[in-house]
Amino acid sequence: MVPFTGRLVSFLVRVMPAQLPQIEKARYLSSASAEIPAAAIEAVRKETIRLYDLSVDIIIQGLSLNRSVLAPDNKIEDIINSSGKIILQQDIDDVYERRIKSIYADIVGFISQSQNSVGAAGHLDRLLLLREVGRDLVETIKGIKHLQKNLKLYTISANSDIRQEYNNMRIQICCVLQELEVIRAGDDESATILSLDQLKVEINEGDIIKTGRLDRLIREHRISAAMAISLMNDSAYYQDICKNLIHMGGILFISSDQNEEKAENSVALDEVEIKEVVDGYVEDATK
Amino acid sequence: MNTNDLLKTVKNFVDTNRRERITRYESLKRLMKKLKIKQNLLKDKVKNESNKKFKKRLEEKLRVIKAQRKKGLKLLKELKSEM
Repeated sequence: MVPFTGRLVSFLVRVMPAQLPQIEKARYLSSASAEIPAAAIEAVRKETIRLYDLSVDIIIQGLSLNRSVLAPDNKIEDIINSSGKIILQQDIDDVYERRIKSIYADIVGFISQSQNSVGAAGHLDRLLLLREVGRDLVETIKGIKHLQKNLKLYTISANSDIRQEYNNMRIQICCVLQELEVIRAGDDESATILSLDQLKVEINEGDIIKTGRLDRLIREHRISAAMAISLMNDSAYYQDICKNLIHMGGILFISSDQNEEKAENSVALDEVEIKEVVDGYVEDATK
Repeated sequence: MNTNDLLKTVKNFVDTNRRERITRYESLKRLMKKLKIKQNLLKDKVKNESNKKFKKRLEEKLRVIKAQRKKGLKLLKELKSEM
């Protein structure tokens, strides 16, 4: 058999070629469209939406859920609280390398290339904003990666308090994604980027540290110190994930009508106004 | 069309800033109308919701829309005074 080993190797290499990892590439970016400002913006917008779709798949799988959970009429809270099983099968680093990084790199390269031809300031600003969307998505995926480790551990924990806290994070992230999907679909005329203000309020209200919920859980010995540290760290990741998604949605899914866009932006609440709404609600609740 | 109307039309045509303000005012007014409809729908939903958790969420939404409308109405007033 030994004399035939070499032949056997070459035969097997030919019959069973090693599968190269499938790397996603940009679909809409071409050097021709880089020359025309409006075409360049549209190409980047389409590619960024594709990047968003791929990212949502990773985020949802990272939370051990299916994308169907984001259907507009679904009550996410009930679905997540009733699903006890956690399957985190994907290696986020690997998926990020294969499906996100290359497309994002293409987008960044395309924008740099078209900066010379896109003369008007308005067009350039739009391109740079779309580049920010890509960065937000990458940050979100990295946040999910950090969150995954403890999510795996605590969503099946026997301690119902820690389990609920981690489920609350999953619920809130999904709610943000669900709202973004509704805005994107455009079927509901009342769902505009102004709806994102509501999510900002919810995220502020759900802050486990600011609301004193974490202290209460520790004081009442319902969670251990180790759990508390994990919760504090992961709460920061979760807040960043939601903020990045909201920021991204405000750019990517804004109205195509410029006048409407200006009107919506002028009415959208800033951080101080969001805080006022949150404080007002807390005051009313304590009365 | 009398002379005054004609003068007004010419003034609007020449004054770009004024035209921009009018467009902005009209867009904002349309948005305020949409928000008002949304607010009324939410008020009805709050009345009919029996689940405490969902009711709380709807009330929060209502509060945000009220804050947005307040901001928008203030802007509308400012724009109108400038026109």
